[in-house]
Amino acid sequence: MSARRWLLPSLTQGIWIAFFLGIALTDWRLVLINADGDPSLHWRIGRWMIEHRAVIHADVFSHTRAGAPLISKEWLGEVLFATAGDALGWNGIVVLSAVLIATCLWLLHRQLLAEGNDLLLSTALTLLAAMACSVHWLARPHLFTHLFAVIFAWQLRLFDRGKLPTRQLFVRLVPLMVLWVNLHGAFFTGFVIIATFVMGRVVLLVQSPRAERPAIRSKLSDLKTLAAGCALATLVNPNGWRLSAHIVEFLRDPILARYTNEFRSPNFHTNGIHGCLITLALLALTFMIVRPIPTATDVVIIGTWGLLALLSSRNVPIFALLITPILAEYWQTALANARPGRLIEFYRRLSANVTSLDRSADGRVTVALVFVVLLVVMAKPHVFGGPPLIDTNILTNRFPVAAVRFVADNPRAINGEMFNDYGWGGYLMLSLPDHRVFVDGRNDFYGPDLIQEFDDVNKVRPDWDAILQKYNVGWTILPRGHALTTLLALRKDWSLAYTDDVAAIYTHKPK
Amino acid sequence: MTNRASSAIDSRRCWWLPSVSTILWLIIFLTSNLSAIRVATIASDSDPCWHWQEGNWMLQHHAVPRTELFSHTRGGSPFVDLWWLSEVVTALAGNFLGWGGIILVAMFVCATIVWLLHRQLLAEGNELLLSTVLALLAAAVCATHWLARPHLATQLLVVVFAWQLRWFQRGRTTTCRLLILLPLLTALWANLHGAFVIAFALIGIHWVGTVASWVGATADEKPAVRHRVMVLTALGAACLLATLLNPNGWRLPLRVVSYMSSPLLMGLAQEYLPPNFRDPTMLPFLLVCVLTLLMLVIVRPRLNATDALLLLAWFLLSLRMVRNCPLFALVATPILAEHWNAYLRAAPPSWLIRRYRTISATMTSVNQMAGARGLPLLATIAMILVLAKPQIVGGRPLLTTELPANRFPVGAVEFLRRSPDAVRGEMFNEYSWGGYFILAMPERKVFIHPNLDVYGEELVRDFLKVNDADSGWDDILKKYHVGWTILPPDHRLSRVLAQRTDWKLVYSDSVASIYGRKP
Repeated sequence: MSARRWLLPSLTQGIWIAFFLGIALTDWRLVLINADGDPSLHWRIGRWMIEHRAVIHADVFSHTRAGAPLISKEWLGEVLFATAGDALGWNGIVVLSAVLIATCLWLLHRQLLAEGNDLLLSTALTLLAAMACSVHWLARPHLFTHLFAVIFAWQLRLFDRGKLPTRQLFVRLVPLMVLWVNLHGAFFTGFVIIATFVMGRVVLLVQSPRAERPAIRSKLSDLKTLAAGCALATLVNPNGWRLSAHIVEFLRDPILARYTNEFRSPNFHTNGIHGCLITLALLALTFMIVRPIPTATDVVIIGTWGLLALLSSRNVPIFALLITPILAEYWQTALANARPGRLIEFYRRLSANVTSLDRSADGRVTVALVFVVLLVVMAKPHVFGGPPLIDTNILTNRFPVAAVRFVADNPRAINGEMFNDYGWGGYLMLSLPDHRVFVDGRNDFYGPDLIQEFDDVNKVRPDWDAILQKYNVGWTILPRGHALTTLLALRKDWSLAYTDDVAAIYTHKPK
Repeated sequence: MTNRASSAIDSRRCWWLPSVSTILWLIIFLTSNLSAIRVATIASDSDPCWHWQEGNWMLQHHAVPRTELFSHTRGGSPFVDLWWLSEVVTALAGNFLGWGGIILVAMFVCATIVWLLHRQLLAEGNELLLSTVLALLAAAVCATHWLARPHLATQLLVVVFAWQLRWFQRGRTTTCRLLILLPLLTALWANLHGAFVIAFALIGIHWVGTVASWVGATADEKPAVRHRVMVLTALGAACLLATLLNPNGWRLPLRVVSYMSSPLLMGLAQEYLPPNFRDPTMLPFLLVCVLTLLMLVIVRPRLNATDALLLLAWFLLSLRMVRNCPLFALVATPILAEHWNAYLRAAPPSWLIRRYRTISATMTSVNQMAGARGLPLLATIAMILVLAKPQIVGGRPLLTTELPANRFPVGAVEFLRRSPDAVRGEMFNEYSWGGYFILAMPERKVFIHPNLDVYGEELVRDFLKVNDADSGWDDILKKYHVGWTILPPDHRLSRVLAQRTDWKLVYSDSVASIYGRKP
């Protein structure tokens, strides 16, 4: 037996380290917090809950719906993000996000290895899944959903293959659902995953001979009971059944979905979607070249999540994470049964060498060291003072940083309520806590009527002025080239209070 | 088949009964010409308008335009017409029979696309029921892009090209026929529509697939594979030369390539955007994808390299641009038919399979009695007569087709005809109306119209700046001597002009507002 190399990380641990450091130390960290205003929004809401030691139940951040009942879909996720943010600033939020992303991929890799796939194959497919998931790597609570989706699918897959007893399945997944429902509103993903396994079993039941049906029915019954157990688990949250009802209502409304980028079909022209394209191509090639005999469940998973990914880009990472183990199984079988040739022999030799080296690696200490060192580096200003070693901040050319500073320094320059750019709402909530926004990224909270009113003003439709008056809007903070900004510049009853390359603030002149 | 069997079948033929292929043709042709669908084919955008007008110019001048004719921003600049022959046909049809004539030609082509595809599936030995269902599904995918525009020629020629190349791969057509027919068709394609480059994509995929098959071929098979590679290489070269047979020569393919390499220009045209799968019209495409997936997992065919590449390449191209979705359906359908047909033939006789075979056999039996061959021609002539009724016997038309006044600024154009002095200087127009103005107001020049290839990136950027009322918009309007605008009333620029004291509202209705710069 070879001696263990205590500092050398295994490939699985290496994946964790690579993604953790890669995200925290490169410009990815800026993408995480600057792609939209939602990281700021979650931090602000989480901070409120920490300060008040209570889950928020009524809105305090907007003036358009001040005091309206608010169902926080991800209160625990927001508290965790706010804790990280309050402790280490944006670096803290980056570290938390990097941990979630790295752990998700680490788990996926572990699953592939545990299912008997080659190390090289597992690593290649995990990296491809990472590429597909990167389209939605943002510092927001949905990263918990990615992580939990991997766990749910793994456990259900083990159960489906008879490698996990029913009791263990319940013990693992039901408490996990309790956690999930409090961490992120997309806990419904867990039910969709269970449903795909149920449908797979139903198809199998129809196809199987009579003698095999009782066993299949038994597993089907267990899955239904699991779904029921998880459904009960979703009640364990500060809003009880209202949370699920609220989410269902949101998903049914096309107007609200239209405003949320990630609910739209993926845009296959953007650079970030190449991972998804390659995954789809690999899936097609797998069936054309390898010609596996898939199980009914595999077909249902591929079909269901493929369709969901085409409908909403936010489902692309889930699709990639769920089909990777399926692809790995097929390619593993194909490679194991492949006719000997130079390429196959080279692959097998390489794989054997890497596996042998990997077996003696145990870099848990290294992983812990990396994490601690990065934490210390991030915490340097708070612990030792001085400027940060790693500067992570909101980009001044993307968000109205200077305009916010102007407002903070000149409170008398503005009066009344604000009308803000949709994408800046979350940032303004965090940076101007004394002011209330018109709207932010919480479409589900604002509802279709207010979102329509916002859209009417945003697109300068005929009733824009009446809507601003209705909400006592006294000032606007919008991008310089915004249609409303251009219009206000021509109006005598509005005056320019501030402008820079990013934003312009107009104030309404009192009569 | 023996003579006796053949004459037995002939004697059973019913002269009044059309074949299923003919029925498909008739349904598509008549439905689209006689129902409200016909308006959608000309009114989804204004492209049919400027194609008609460009065709008119060519008929009047007996020449292909070499300079831009319709805009004041690019008037006189060098221009390569990517679809001159389609425009001439459009203008002939439009001048003779109005919009109805243009729709008739367009729907004739659409019906022929589906008919050809159906004929191909049957000729390849697929069951009638399966062929019909798949052809209808492909038609549903293509119908999302069935507009009275030159790209219909591309859809038609894709079916022909794909069919011939497929049969060449399978040894069902001769080298000679391939090397004569396809270059000729390429020459025609290059004059009909700028997407003739798709011919090279198809040939290229077949070439790569054939080379890939050489790897796994036995020693006996290699000479045949080598021969196919050489033929396809020669075919590619011949087709490339054939593309030069157009009024602009080598400039045409270069123009196509340069247009396709501009993300800004491509991004403005709706059909170059990725598909929106939330749109219900994408459902047929999704069904084809599902059918393809089910074929791969249930039928598990041993696809040859070419078919695999065709499916993969066109699927990925469809995800990149919605205009490729119909082409995916047209290319994938014969492959789907082949393998589903084999699977259904060999499937164990369950209740469903027995039902399918019974229905298919009945359909085939009835189809064999079909003897009505001239119905498409009759239907076309009848349609022409219906549309030409005012010219032939006078009186009011039986079928009127006009551009909808709630979609195009018909009222505003009428006003400008009545009061030509109400506006001065050049116009700034709504992008999607540009083509309409070219036809409806030929005496005036547009700022822009959807043939973006003409305008180039710099002007398009200028246009977008004004369109978004971005800072500097007025300077750009002054640069192009724009004295009036014609835009939707709730257009961003209309709202801004309403606030400006140096502009006044000249005309407004529910569709369009005209603002004029005060002297």
